[in-house]
Amino acid sequence: MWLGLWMLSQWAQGQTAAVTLVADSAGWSLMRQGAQHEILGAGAKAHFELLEECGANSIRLWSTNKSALLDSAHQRGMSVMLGLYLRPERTGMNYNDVHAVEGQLAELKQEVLKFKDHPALLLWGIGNELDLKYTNTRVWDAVEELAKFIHEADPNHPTSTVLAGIDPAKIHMVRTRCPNIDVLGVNAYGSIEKLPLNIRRFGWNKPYIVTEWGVNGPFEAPTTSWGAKKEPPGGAKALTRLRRYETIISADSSMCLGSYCFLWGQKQESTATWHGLFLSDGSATDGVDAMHKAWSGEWPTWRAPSIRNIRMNDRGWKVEHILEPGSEVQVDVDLEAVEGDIQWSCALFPESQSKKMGGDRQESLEEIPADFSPVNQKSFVFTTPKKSGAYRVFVKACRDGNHCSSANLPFLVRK
Amino acid sequence: MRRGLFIFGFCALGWVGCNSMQEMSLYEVDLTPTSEQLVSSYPHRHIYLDSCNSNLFGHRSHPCKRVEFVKGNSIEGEDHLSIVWQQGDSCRYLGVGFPWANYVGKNLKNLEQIAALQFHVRLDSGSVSKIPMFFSLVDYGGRQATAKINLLNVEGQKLDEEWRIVHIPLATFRATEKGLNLENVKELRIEFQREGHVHLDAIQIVPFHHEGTLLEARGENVCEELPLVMNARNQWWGLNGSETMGWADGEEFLVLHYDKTGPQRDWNSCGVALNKWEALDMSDVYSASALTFQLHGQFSPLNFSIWSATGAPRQVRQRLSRDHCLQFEEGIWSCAIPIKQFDQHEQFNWSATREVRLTVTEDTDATMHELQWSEYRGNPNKVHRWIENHRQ
Repeated sequence: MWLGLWMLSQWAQGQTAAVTLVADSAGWSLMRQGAQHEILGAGAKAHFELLEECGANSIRLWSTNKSALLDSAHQRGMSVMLGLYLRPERTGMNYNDVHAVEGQLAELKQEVLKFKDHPALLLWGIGNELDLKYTNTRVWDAVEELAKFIHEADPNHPTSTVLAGIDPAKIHMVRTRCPNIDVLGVNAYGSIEKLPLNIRRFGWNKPYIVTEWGVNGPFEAPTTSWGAKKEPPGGAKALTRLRRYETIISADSSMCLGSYCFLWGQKQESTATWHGLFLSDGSATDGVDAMHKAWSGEWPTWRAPSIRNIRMNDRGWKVEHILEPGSEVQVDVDLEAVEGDIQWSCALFPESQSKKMGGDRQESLEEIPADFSPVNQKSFVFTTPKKSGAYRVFVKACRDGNHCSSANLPFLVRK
Repeated sequence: MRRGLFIFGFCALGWVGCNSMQEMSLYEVDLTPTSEQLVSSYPHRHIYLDSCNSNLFGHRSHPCKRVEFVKGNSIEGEDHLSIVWQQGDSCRYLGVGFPWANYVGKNLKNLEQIAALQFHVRLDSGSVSKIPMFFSLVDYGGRQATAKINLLNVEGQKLDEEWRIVHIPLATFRATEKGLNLENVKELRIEFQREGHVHLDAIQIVPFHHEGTLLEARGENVCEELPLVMNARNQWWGLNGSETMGWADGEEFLVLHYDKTGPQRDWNSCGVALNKWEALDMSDVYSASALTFQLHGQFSPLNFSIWSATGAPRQVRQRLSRDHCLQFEEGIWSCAIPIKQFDQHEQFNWSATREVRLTVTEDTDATMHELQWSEYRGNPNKVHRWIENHRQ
C-alpha cells in the first residue's frame, strides 16, 4: 500500500509541477520540477510556435479569462505566470467598499482553486499595475488576503504582484503590507535602465521578475507640439530590446528570476506598432529577431529587414513635421541590409486621440486612402491631405511577406 | 359578605387597570410602508417576464451574438432568454436592452437603498466564478451607470447549470456619482464582453438589504504641528551602511560619504517617509516651515526634494547652498531651507506630501544631524538671520 501511495504522490507531483524559490550565495533561483527555471518569457496569446523556436520557455497571462492558453503553453512545454485580475482603482474600484472587495476576492479564490493544479502554472500574478494612479493603499490588503489564501490552498506555486514601475513608497507597501508576496513583478519600460539599482536602493529583499518590458512606452516618449508621440523606428527599437535584455535583465542573475517581454502580439497603444513584436497582419518584426538573439544567443538564420531611421523631406523622426495641405512630401528610410527582395508598403492614418493609460485598451484607427509613389528602393512621395489635422505616415519593409520592420512619422497639416 | 368582596375586588381591578392604560387617539396608526412594502408595491418592478410580456431590443441575429427565447425550463412566464456571444474586432459592443414598462420613465430614487435588481441565471454547462456581463441603468438624458455581478450576491456563490438567483443592489450602480437620474430611468442594458452563453429569466426589482460598508479612508493624516523629526530608521531608503550613505552605528545621524568616481557612486540618493509612506496633509503648515539640520564636516551642496503622492509637479526641489547655512564652529554648519524657496512650491500638492529626499552629487564627507521639518517664521530670503535667532 505504501508503494502505491508513494507512486501516487510522485504522479501528483509530476502533474502539478511544484515550483519553489531557493536562495544561495549566488542569489535567488526559481526551481521547477527540481531544475532551475530562468524565465525566458513573453506576454503572449498567439504565435506560440515561433515563441518556442526563439527559445522562450514561459508566457504571462494577465487574467484567467483565456484559460485555454494554459493548455497551449503546456503543449509546448512552457510555463505560465497566471494573472488574477484585481480591478485597479483607476477603473472605478473602491477599495474602501468592503462588499465590492470581498466579492472580487471570492471570485478570484475560486479561480485559484480551479487552476492551481494546472501543470503549466509557474506562479500567480495578483493584480497588474494596481498602483498606477492609485491613492487608496487598502488595495494592498486585498493583495495580501489573496496571497495568503494561495499559500494555504496552493503551496506549490509562489505569489507575485505586478507594479507599474517602482518607487520607495510602493516597495515599502508591498514589503510591509503583503508579507505573503514571494516575488515582485515590475513592468518597466524607460525605468528599466535603473531597475536593478532601484530594487536594491528602495529596500526590496526578495526576488523580482520584469513582468513587462520593451522599448520606452508612449507615456515616456517625447511629443510634438500638437501632442503626437514620437516613436523610434522598428530597427532602433529592436536594438534597444536586445541591449536591455543583455545588459540589464540577464545581468542581474542574483535577484532577477527572468522576464516577460511585451508584447508577443500586436496592440494599439498610441500607434499600432509601438509595443507589439508583430504587426496587425500577423507579420513578425525585427523585434522578434532581437528576442531570438536574446533568448538563444544566436540571430535567426532568416531575419527580417530592419528600418534604422526614417526621414520626411530629409528631416529625421525626432523633429516636428508641419506641412501645407496638399503638398508633396518625400519619405526616406535607412534599412539594415538583408539578402533577398524587400516588399515596401506605406499607409496614412489620423493621429490617435486616445488618453487611455496603463495599457488599457485603445481602439484601432481607420486608414486614410493615399497614393504613395516610389522614388527609389528606400524613398516614397505622397501628397498630404487637404484637410488640416494631425496625421501619421507608416512605412513597412518586408521580406517573404511575413518578416517585417516598420517605422512611422507624425505630421501636422496646417495652412 | 362574599358578594361584597367580589364587587370591591372588581372595582379595584378596574381602577388599577384604568390607571395603567395610556391615552391613545383612535386614528394614531403608523401607515408608513415598510421597505418591503414600498418595493413590492412599485408598479414597474417587472423588467423581463417572457417574450410576449416584456420590451426587449438587441435580440436580432448578429454574427457575434444570438438571442433566443427558450420555452422549456423557465422560471417565470412562457419562455426565458438564451444569449450566446463572442466579441470580435467587428463587434466591440454586444448587448441587449430592456425599456421596461413600455418606455415609461421609471422613478427608482426611493428604492435605491432598499432594492436590488434580481434575476435568475444559469449556464449550459460547467461552472464559473464570473460572467463577463455588465448591467447598466440608462436615463432619458442618455447617462448611464453600470454595475456587475458580485459573487457574494449569487445564490450558492457559484454560477453553473442550476438556476441561480442573483441580486445587484441598486445602490451599487452609484447613480449620483455617475450622474444618472434615477427619477427618470429609461431602460436596463446588459453588455456582454469576450465570449459566453447564459440563460436569463425573471428580471425584476425586489426588496434587498445591501451590506454596503464603506471603510474610512486610510492614512489621511493632517500635520497640525511642527517639527517633524525624521529619524525613524525604518522609514528611510537608499542607505547602504556607511559605504556612501547610512546611519552611524548606535548614533542618530546620517553619514554622507560619497565618492562620485567610486564603485558605489550610484548610491547617491536617499529619502525618508513623513507618514509611513501614506500621504500627509501639510497644507496648513508648509508655507511657514523649513527643512533644518546640522552638517558636520565638509560643506556639501546637497540636492533636496519633497515628493507628493499625487498631482503635478510630483516633486519640488532646492539645492543647498551656503546661503542656507551658518558655520558656528569649525566644520559645524547649522542649516535651514525654507519651503518657500523650493521651486514650484505654489503648484505642489501639499495635501498629499509623502517624502523628503536628498541627493549627493559632489564628493562628500560629512554627517547630517537633527534633520527635521521645522516651523520657520521669518523672511525666506534671510535665512542666516533666522538661524542666528534660533540658535540653541
